[in-house]
Amino acid sequence: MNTLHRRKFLQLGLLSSAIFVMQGCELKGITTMRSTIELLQRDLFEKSHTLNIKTTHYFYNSVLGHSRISQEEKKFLKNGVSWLNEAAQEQYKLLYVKLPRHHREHVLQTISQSQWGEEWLSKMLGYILEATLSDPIYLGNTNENGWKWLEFQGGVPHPKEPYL
Amino acid sequence: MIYDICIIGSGAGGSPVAYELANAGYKVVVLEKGNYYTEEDFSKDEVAVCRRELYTPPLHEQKHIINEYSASGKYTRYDGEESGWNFWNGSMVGGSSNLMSGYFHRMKPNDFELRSVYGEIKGANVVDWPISYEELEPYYEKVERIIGVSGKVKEHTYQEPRSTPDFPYPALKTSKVTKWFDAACEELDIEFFETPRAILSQNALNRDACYYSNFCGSYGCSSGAKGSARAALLQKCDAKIITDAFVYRLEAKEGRVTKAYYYTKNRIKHSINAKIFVLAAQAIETSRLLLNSSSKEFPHGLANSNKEVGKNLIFSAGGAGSGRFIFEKLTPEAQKELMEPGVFFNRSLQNEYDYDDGCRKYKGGTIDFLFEHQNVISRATQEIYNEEGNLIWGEELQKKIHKRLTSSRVLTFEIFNDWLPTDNCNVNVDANVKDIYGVPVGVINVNSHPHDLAVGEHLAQSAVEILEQMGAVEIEYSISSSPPPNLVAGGCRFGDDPRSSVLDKNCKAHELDNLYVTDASFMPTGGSVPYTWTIYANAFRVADVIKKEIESSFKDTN
Ligand SMILES: Cc1cc2nc3c(=O)[nH]c(=O)nc-3n(C[C@H](O)[C@H](O)[C@H](O)COP(=O)(O)OP(=O)(O)OC[C@H]3O[C@@H](n4cnc5c(N)ncnc54)[C@H](O)[C@@H]3O)c2cc1C
Ligand code: SF4
Repeated sequence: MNTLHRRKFLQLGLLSSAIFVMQGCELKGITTMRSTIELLQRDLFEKSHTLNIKTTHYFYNSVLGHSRISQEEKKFLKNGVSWLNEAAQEQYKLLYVKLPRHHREHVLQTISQSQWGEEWLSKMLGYILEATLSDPIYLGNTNENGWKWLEFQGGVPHPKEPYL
Repeated sequence: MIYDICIIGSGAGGSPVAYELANAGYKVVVLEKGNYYTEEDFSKDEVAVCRRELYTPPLHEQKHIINEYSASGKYTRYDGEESGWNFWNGSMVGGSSNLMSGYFHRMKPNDFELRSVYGEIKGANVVDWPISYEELEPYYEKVERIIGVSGKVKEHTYQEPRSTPDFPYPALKTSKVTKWFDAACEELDIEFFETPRAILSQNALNRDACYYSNFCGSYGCSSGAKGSARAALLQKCDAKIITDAFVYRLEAKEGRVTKAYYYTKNRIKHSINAKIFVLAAQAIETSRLLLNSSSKEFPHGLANSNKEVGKNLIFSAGGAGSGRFIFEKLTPEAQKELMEPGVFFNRSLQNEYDYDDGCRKYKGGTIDFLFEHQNVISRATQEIYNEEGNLIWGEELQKKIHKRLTSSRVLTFEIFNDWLPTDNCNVNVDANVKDIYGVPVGVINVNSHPHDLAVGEHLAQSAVEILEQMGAVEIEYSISSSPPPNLVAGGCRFGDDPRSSVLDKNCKAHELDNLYVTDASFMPTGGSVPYTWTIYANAFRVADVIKKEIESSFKDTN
């Protein structure tokens, strides 16, 4: 979205934070990062949800909590959630989680045309696929359902502990 | 305590010396900056190994500065941390040899006389080696036995001379798709052979056979079948291995190295005294350590009075390509053959190891064929763009991933040709940029000669023809001047002339009596093959030299 500006937003805490979506000095809405991510992940890749893959847990635990993912990347991932909500506000005057499916899809289409949006969505997709197809030790790929879906035999030996 | 030998770096270059000298009864210590992982520790954890870089240092702690040169001589500077450009390969006991795929090729006799056989190429610093293929051949053979190389010798135009008729271990199991490949080559009249692999096809050498884990390259081997320096050598000798030992400086006095200084992760300083020092920290880090070891006596760094240290860094030139086999074009039987997991492809071409363009003879190269890596996250993630290059998600993406991963498979090829050594491809240090230990980081100046691209392009044509003949779709390739970080050599050339080389023909520094370099740094040119067989062979050769040297010095002192 060309007209979308990265507006100032306030963010409290880190992980289960509330997101205050601002336009100028006006508070336009409050949501939690987790609820936005949960819904976004379903919109991007519903299959994981139907396979009972814990993509949001994975995102918090094995992405935002990972020692080898840079602070810069984590900040970008989190900022993206706010920008997504700002884009939803700008287009439909509502937070992303409050929009009907077809409007959410439209917001995603719009942000995917911007540089940050494309980069952010591709990263979010990458982490959903990681959750779905990583070793179950990371607690995403429940019961190897992701692997079964793709008729994939995981590698042996499996890790004894997750690398975080 | 004074050790007989102190080896810096426990990978393919250092370990043959440790193995030979420790087994001959000498006191050997190996200083390795990484951790000690064994068969019990390895797993096929794609996230840890391939997406979170478990085996290499974080770039915010240790990085390189990379200057990428263009043809005009201008360069762009990249900070490794900011750009994510990563030249680390495997910081662990056994080094990156733990993670290699073990595609093993010897260099050919002509590779040792590149300049004499193929002539000069403008802008390239090509020289002949000071040793011949015949001198290295017994050590190539030794590697086959001790590291363990599996394969089947097949006569072809460029088959190098061998002192034994065949490999000591039978060829590994291969996919039935190789029948399609072999038929295509026969149809096209292209010579091919089974790729030799540094992998045990049967239990031997006190190691277990390959169990076709489906995840070989980039992963540690849990059976010990892969011929890593750790499994094949360090675990078969009682050299003392000190891990978490980052060597940052060698001290030298009166023409002899006396001490290696190292830091632990907690930045505690230690030092080791030894009679002989062997440096094998992989090509870039070896030059960096020599340059960082300057003193009053050696103001330009150790072994660098002629300012040759770091010069003529080379990589493996070439590129990669692929073709996809789709179920729609295959019988049910062929589909089953295509999807069989685990077994290898193991087919190689050297049909144009050299070629003539009508005017002159050129050095060509090698092509290895292999199935696309089975890393499932990476294969799925490749699908997130549609044919128009737009990001896709939802139903469209789900369908695409499912279809591509369950009803097609990609056969890839990798091209190896000479990366010609040039003035702008070298290693230096940046006194102003330090790593977490406070040590100046290595600067990698990268430049590729245009001739390398022309050769790669020429070679790719046979691979494309074969894939077409086999019925693959989406055939594509890319010949690149980008340096593969895992296939690196040069920086401390060996040679007979002390003015233009760092090491003598035995890989001893010309200007120091007791310093040897046994990783790929010694190589003035790299051949058109991956380097590791040659690194191992040369290190065994140098080990024999050191053994003789130390035996005679013991005799003198007794
Ligand atoms: C994924 C992958 C696939 C590969 N596949 C193939 C293949 O199919 N065929 C092939 O021929 N080659 C392959 N290679 C390349 C092969 O692994 C290398 O050529 C070989 O291991 C190089 O040997 P080396 O001794 O120079 O370095 P390494 O084996 O990497 O050993 C160097 C060691 O030195 C240590 N070190 C570095 N600096 C210091 C310091 N200052 N102090 C103490 N220790 C230090 C490092 O931690 C490392 O353990 C592959 C490599 C990788 C990563
Ligand atoms: S078991 Fe075989 S395929 Fe697996 S890592 Fe070891 S050598 Fe490679």
